[in-house]
Amino acid sequence: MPIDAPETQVRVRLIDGPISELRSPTWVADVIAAASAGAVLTFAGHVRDSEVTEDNHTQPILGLEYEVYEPMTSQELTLLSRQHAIKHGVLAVDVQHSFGFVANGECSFVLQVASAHREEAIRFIDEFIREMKKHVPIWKVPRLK
Amino acid sequence: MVSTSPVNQQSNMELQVLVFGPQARMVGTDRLTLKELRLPTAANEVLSRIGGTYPELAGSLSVSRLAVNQEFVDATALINTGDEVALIGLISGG
Repeated sequence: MPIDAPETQVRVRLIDGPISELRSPTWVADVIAAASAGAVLTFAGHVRDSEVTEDNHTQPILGLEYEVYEPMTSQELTLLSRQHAIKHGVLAVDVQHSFGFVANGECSFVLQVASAHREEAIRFIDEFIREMKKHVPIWKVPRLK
Repeated sequence: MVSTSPVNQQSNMELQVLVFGPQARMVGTDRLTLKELRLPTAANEVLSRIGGTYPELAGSLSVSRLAVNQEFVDATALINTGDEVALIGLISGG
């Protein structure tokens, strides 16, 4: 469900398995039509074919098993989106994250951001991902080859 | 929100704590059981009891937090009977 806030649109979705369709959310057309956004950026995260273990060895994997804790995961993603949208003056945020198994090479995370200028969106994406890895209850467990 | 009221104080209660991801694999379950707790008890006491009961988790507790009823709580928050408690550690989204 889209969640509207003054001057910022935030949408969060959890997807069972890989994210197969990299489709622009409807707000992209809206913000472009309104001519308020000069930048629409999309970041897509894909599963690598290896994981670095605690003892610093690289281990080949088949993919990653993602776990979430609902509704807390969606709530924290929404909160993080809102906080950083306000901080960076971003106009709209769309987050998709997988749960369940995602094989090597497949997409598990998509973050789309619209802002007046590219700098805000670039800063938002970098900071959002860094904070998500620290604060949002999402876990990944490698499925070994 | 977590209540700070002394009501529901009970001795020798069993508290279950949800656990996920790599930490769940370490202990072979998705539910930790802490026995003989006096409730309400502070979140830091629960973390300490988890470390004592499940030594496999001791190394990851410094990067873990507790959530109570699906909200992060600080170390002094009180946990009461009927609260849903979860250990949130070793997270890695993206």
